[in-house]
This record gives sequence, structure tokens and C-alpha cells, in this order.
Amino acid sequence: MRPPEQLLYDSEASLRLVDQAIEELDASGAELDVDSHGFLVHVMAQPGGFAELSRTLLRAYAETFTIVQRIRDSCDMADSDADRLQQMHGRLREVSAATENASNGILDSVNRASVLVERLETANDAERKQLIAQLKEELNGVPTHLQFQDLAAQQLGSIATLLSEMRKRIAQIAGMFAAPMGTPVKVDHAPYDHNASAAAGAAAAGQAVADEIFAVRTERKSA
Amino acid sequence: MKFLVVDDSVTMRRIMINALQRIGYTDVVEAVDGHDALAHFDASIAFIVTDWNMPKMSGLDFARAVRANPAGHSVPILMVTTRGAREDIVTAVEAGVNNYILKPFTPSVLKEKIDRCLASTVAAA
Repeated sequence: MRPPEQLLYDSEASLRLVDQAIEELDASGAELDVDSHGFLVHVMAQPGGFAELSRTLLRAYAETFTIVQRIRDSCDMADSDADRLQQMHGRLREVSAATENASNGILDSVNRASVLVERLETANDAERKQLIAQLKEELNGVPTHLQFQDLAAQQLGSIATLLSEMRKRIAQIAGMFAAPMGTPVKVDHAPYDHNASAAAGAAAAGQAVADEIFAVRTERKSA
Repeated sequence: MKFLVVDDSVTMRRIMINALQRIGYTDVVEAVDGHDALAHFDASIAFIVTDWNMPKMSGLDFARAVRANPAGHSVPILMVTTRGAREDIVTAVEAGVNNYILKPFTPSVLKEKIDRCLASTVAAA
């Protein structure tokens, strides 16, 4: 878009030419129809004549220019919020999958434990000892599955922050068009790990990195 | 051996204490964040297991505070966290953490890391 100052200069120059042409036309005594004559009389009666029109045009243009700029800015903001929504969607899917995995893991443990208990009822002493050890193993596995709660809390904490950021941006967009938003919502941000992941293999990959770093450190110390 | 377990999640503290008991460590003190942990920390604590992300004082700041305390120079610190980025692990090492576990963990991994921490502490002494 052209800068408003340039538009003002061009349009004012053009309209001055029009002004001049009308004056010449009037001086020549040429006939105009009633409507055109009325319009010209009205315009010429304004201070500045046709040139004043250019200022009106400029104001309209400047307003339009500003609105277009604000729409562009708000589109940029909306684009970044779309990315955030995508991130939130991914995190919610991960929480859902982690919850499902944990539930299935616990159900599997319970099922296997039930079978072991049934076998215990008819087992002899030697078998009983082995079955009890297996039963303990199954029960001890349950708390491991329950760790999904902490991972889910980290993910949800991250989502709460993203939502809070989005709300601020929406308020900024509304502010651009001078529409006041409601009372800001106070969000209590608990610390969380933005990269916390319950995805399969994520912890194993991280643990491998940690083991490598600590192994190198131990080697250096013992050298 | 007295353990100090620091985590803001009640569930995680229960899981950790449960796992510690299963591998033979029954003397455990709990704390809800680094600030609370410092209040519980004294010469009787022989091993610290801490989370990273916690309100008031993070596990990282807590580890630094323990290392700055003469009574905490040689106490093994095991960080149990969801933070698996290399730079986070390096930061933890620099803060004085002896070993690192990514959540979710199993009791066998916990035992292995505790044994490693204890072995390295004995070797250093």
C-alpha cells in the first residue's frame, strides 16, 4: 500500500487540476445538467473546493490502512495461536494415551494376579512359594503404572500456560479493535516440564543420555 | 540408612516410598518441595531422592543448597524427573546431582541408581 502522505500529495494535485478545469468550464459558459450543476455548486462552496475532498479521502484511506494493518497483525497472532492449539492437541492426546496405557497395565496386572490367586488355592507347598513370588511381582508393578499421574500433571500444566498465553493474545487482538475483554482470569501456574513426555520410548531415550553423561563423569573421576 | 524423598506430587512420593521399601529402605522422610526439604535436611539424612519441577524451590536449587551446606557435601543426591534434555542433565550434574532417573521408572532401575550413587560415594571417601 502507498503511504498516506504520498496519496495526499497525488490526490490533492489531481483535484486542484479538476478545480481549475471546473473554473475554466464555468468561465466558458458551457451548459451543465441540473444535477451536475448542483453538485459542482455545492463542492465549490466548500472551503478549499475539490481539494478538500482529497483530505477526506486521505482520512478514509489512513483509517482503512490502519485497519488492514491491524487485521494483518491479528492474523499473525492467530497463526501462532493455531500452532499452540496444535501443541495442546498433541499433549492432550499424549495424556489420554498415557492414561489408557496405565489403565491397561493395571488391568493386566490384576488379571494375572487373579489367575495366580486361583492357582494358589490348589497348589502344593513348592508351587505355592513360586506363585506367591509371582504374585508379589505383579502387585509391585502396579505403582510403576501409576506414575502416569505425574506425567499427566506436567502436560496439563503446560496446556494451562498455553491457554493463558492464548487468552492474553486474544485480549491484545480485541484491544486492537478497541473491544474491551472481561476481567482477566488469574491462573495459578505450578512449575512443570514443558517437554515432559509419556510417549513410548521418550523416558528410555532420556535415560540413555543421562546414563552416558554419568558414565563419562564416573570414568573421569576414577582416572 | 535414612532417605529424604522430595516431590510435590503426593502420588509420586507414595510411589517412591513404596519402591524404596520394596528394595529394603524403610527409613524415609518426605518433603513437598526444596524449601520444605531444606527444613528437613540434617546430618541424619544419608540419601536424597528429589524431583526437579517443584513450587517454591526446585530440586535443582535444593541440590545446590545442599552442596553449599557443609553437612551436605557428600550426601548422594538422585534426581528423579521428567526432564530428559541433555542440557538439563548437564545442569543437574553441575549442581552436584550424583545420578539421574527419568520418569516413569521401575524399582529395579531405582535400586541400580541408588547402588551406583552409594558405590561412587564410598569410592570418593
